[in-house]
Amino acid sequence: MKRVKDFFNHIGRGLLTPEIYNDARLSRRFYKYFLIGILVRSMLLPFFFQRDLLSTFQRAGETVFAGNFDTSFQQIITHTIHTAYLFIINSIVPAVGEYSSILLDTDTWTSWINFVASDNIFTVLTLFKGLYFIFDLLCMFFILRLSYDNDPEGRLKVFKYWMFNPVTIFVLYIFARHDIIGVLVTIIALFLAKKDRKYWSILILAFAIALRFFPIMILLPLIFYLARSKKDYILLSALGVSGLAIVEAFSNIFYRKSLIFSLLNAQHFNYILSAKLDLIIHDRIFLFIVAYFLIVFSFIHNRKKNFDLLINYGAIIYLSYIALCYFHPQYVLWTIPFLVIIFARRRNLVYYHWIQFGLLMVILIYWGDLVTKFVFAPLDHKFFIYITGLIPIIERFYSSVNFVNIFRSIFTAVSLWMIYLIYRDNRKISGARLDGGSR
Amino acid sequence: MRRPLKLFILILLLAVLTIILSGCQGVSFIPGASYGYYVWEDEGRIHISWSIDRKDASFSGSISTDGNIGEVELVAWEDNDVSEITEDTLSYTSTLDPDDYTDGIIIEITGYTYIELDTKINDGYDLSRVHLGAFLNNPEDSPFRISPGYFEEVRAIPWYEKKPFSGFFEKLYNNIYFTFAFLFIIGVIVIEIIRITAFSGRKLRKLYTGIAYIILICLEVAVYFLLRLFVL
Repeated sequence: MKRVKDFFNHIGRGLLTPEIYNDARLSRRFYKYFLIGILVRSMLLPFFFQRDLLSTFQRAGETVFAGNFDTSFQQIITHTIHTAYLFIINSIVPAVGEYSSILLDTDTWTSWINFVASDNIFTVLTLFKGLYFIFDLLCMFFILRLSYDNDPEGRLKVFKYWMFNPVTIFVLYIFARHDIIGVLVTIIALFLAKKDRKYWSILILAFAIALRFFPIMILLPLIFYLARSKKDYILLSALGVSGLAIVEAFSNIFYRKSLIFSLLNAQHFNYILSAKLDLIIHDRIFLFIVAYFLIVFSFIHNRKKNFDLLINYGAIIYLSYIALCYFHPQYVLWTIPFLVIIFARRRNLVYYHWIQFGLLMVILIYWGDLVTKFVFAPLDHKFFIYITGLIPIIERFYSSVNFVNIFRSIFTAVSLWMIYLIYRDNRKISGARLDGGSR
Repeated sequence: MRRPLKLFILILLLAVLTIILSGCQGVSFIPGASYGYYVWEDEGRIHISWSIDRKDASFSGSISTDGNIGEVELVAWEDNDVSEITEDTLSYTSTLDPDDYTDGIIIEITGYTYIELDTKINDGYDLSRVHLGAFLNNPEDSPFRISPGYFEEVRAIPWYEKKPFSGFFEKLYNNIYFTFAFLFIIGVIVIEIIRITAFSGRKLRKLYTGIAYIILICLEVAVYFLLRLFVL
């Protein structure tokens, strides 16, 4: 009996960190946050999704049910994870197999209608979104360890802000997008950076870049944080791009086409270039690229770099991206691992973040029925197909484009103000040993 | 400071809920935004209105009856909209465009055993967009007939048989093992939260927790019978 108790105590300490686990008051608070967070997530799991979730699993279904691996060339690793997961749940739950005809249906409209109208949709949605729930759980426990080494209260706050973060809950459990996979790998890379495992950290970040393009934005600051010699700069830079290089080599051998050029020519890469200043003839300045390098230079010239400063700069980079560029709602998730750590220190930022989230809910209208009323279609597909959409209602009284863009502009203002507040915070934490790791 | 905020959010949620639920009790639409036919009865007169989300569209059809057609009022009718009344039939053709949000007819019919409606949109039928007395209470064929007292019958339909509740409850019932498992997991988490907060430090907390689990099981049984009642 004692051994069993010791075993669970050991797991508890491992999951919660010894400081929180050994303090009865803190561990109870931790448990309360955990349970309430899980309750909110569980309640949303079966009922909502955005069409892209079905597309992702349709591509996985092509591999599992039709043996076709050639369906998701631009996101090979993400596709492989979904395929493996679908294979496992299909082996365990027979209801999933009944969906093979829907998953193999190439007509986007009829497959969606058949999916939302099906009797077992709640079970299947719970299982599909369960994958993101697993990654979310892992993020919870990694993010707990990312900062505030000698401050269990601070760690608990970070945990609370992750558990109740509206963007995390919305993106994973209402919108149901897979960005959390890349986010987890990026958090692990940051965790390793904090532990001074510089090569592992960059290798894992390279893997994150291969998963999703976004982590490339923190590659430069991470290299400058970790490198101590010229050799480090060369090695870490080579390692950093290795993830993309491997995936590029694989795609050239397996698919006989270039992944990098396909990504560069994809509509999504143009989002980064969407904010621009047209000068004359062909001369043009891309605002995010200007902002990005200014942020990186600012980080480089900070003599007293520490891990919290790196986190602050990560937040600044991703906030600049969503402030200046065209983005999809799920991209906001990339700011969250950085922001929740800063929230524990600067509570006023939490209020701005909630405003950001509220504005994001209005900006969503951009994408029409697919991301507004159709998200609720599993509840009663006919009702949510035929109910009047938000765009026609707004359009009836005012230009919907102007309406949304007014809120978009406020969103940008709030994001830029948050950047300013974080920049002010930089001065305070620069050189301070908040995390136990400074250089 | 926090209590007024919570109160404000609660009032806001209640207001939204009231609007949503009251919206399910009748047929309402936003001219120039909603799309389709909306038919209802008010003070013995039949109202037939149509609307589209600010696009060019034509609405045509007829209203015929074995009763007597009395007063007819053409609502928001323009010069190019046409109506023709014979002894037992009213035919109409009307167009809407980005500046013309809605047209409609209010018709008084007495002594009838049926009213037959033929409702076309762009010379075709889209019966899911013909709402009779309630949103998504659609006819199955066209032309379709309404008997006296039809709108009272629609009004008397209980809320759980109206959309979106009917579709939601049907899925929960058809997937009953999932529903039980889902409710049980949610219940266990809620009980656990109550155990570490409200029951914490109480002498009889184990007893209270046991009672909470018994309530959860009773609740599951009650949900089963409620869903049976709602769906069957």
